[in-house]
Amino acid sequence: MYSIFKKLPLVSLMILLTSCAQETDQSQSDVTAEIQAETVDQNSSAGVSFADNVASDIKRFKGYFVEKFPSIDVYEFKDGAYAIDEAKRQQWLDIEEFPPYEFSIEEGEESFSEVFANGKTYADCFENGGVGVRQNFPYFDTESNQVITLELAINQCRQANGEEPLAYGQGEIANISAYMAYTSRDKKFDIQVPNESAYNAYLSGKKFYYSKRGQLNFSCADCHLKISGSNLRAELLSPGIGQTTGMPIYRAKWGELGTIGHRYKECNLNVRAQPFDYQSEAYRNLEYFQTIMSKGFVVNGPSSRR
Amino acid sequence: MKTIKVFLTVAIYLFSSMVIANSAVKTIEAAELARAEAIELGFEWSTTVKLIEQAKASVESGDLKEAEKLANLALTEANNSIKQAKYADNNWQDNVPN
Repeated sequence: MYSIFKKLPLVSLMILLTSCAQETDQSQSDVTAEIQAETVDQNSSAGVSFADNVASDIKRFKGYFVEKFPSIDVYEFKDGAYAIDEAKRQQWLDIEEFPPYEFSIEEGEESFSEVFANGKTYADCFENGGVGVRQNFPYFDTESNQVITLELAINQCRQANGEEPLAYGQGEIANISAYMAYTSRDKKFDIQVPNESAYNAYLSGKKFYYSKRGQLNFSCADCHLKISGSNLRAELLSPGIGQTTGMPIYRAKWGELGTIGHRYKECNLNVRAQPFDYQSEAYRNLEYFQTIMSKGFVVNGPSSRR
Repeated sequence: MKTIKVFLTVAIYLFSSMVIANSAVKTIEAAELARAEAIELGFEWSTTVKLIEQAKASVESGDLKEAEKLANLALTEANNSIKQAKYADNNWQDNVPN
């Protein structure tokens, strides 16, 4: 038993050192230039257009998938891996005829209509009464200088009205999120980066996305960019673009709905990295980055996945 | 003479046990410190804390050799996660598509 433990860190160290040596040999000067460019972007507000940098990132991110999957309309990746594999897509479409999250939407609507002790409701906290607003989340709040996700806003609403916050991840908060997403279907995401603080939050999410972590030394990008479309055992790795549009998702292996934070935790554990807390700054910034990368995609949550 | 031999044997055994126990405890402490640094950097591995807990349990049960072995594994993991964090900090841009 312990001999397994003994070997794993050695293998990981070898992978780390090997990749370190390879990367250093390959393009040290390019890397240095990129780091310097990124640092300038991050630290300077004068003469730097955050919007231009973000637009360039979106173009490169989308372009990667357009090149990798030339026969697939990139916006079809709102359906994840089901845009790639026709057989799996048919199975998924069959499931979606009587979706397993249907009752969760109804329960979410009931919860959303709950009248708080002070007589207010969730509708009082959100623009347009909370209907058709999913595409505006997550956003960067310039007053509190942080990324506000839909689930955080739901709990902020509760607390502002004297109610206890809901537990994150699964259950009632995922149901409410699902209902709100359902009322927003087909509305397009176009999340903005309004100022330097927002840009730093965006960069933090971007750095998280591309950083290898955990005992298995994998980044989000390793699975959902570089080897997206490949099989990991029986599962087809979904492309990173459009991944946030279908949230929250009903996963067959969970047997219930879960928020994107729940999925992040699962991903981290899969690579043997200690997950962060729900609604931690790291995860909120990651969701911010990922949703910005999905600019122009429509809301199609909640959705089901294997 | 025989009594002296028995006394010396017991003394050596007790002394070596104390040395191993002390070493295991110190390694556990070092692993906990390194783990704290990994947490601070946001790169803790999910497996490290389990190794530390198992090492502590082995100390409690008196299996000091096992404790030392587990503590060393935990320390190696924690140090590797710190290396990983530092490497990521300097090289994450390499994974961004051109």
